[in-house]
Amino acid sequence: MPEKSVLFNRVIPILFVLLALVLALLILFAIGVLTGLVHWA
Amino acid sequence: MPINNILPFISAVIMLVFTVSVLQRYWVRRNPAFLFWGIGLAMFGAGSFGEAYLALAWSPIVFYIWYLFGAALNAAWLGHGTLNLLVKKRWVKILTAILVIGSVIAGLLMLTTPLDSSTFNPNTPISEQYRDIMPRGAPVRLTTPFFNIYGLVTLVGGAIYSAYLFWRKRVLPNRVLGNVLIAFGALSIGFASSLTRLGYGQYLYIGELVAAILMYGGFLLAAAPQPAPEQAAAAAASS
Repeated sequence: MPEKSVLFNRVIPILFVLLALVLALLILFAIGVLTGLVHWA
Repeated sequence: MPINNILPFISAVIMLVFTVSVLQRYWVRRNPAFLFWGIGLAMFGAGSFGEAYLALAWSPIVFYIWYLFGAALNAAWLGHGTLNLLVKKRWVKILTAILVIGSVIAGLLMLTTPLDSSTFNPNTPISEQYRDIMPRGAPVRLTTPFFNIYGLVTLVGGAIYSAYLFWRKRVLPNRVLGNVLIAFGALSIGFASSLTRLGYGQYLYIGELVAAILMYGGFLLAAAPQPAPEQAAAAAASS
């Protein structure tokens, strides 16, 4: 892996954070569905 | 023909090619992860084909296929494939049993669900009208959150975790990028499905197409052959 790559040193960490945030939002949505706060069926 | 009627055809073709690629790998390597991914991708493709067909004509059998494989089961089987690579075999066996039994139960519930096709309109995407075709509170509809949540967490969480492992060890950049693409693809379908549940079904097909392209691209990138030193470093990273 290139040591001074902007992609791997800057972009990828930001993408990890972004992915984790969206996943967390979807998990919150899922909890809402399971607890009945969000209508599903 | 409206664009929303064409998108599922394109997704179905991509998923067919993707499924064949993954099942070929299972045939060569006999790694169960590829088998579960292949089954999940075949379900995804069947769901897309169902959407495409239902944009042309009504068929209760195709509706059953679309809902069971496209809306309920595929994410869980895909995610279960990823889980195979990340947890101990004992847990994999237990979760496989739960997934198989749960899928059979969902299939039986689907087959016993009465459908009302009197309001069916081929010009409206099926994701926007399925609520009127299936009875409100049908048991099979209550099973879908469990499958989809399991699939989302294992597929997206597993791809992020794998990408992070390779990134942290500074090895196999193709697998870092490939897993990031797979995670974005899976999130795309998860996001589009969530919008559908909230009443915005028109975004489902573009979400599926984006998911198919990103996940296939990610798979090709992550599975690209590596030189021997990189493979040894990868083995060390994942141990």
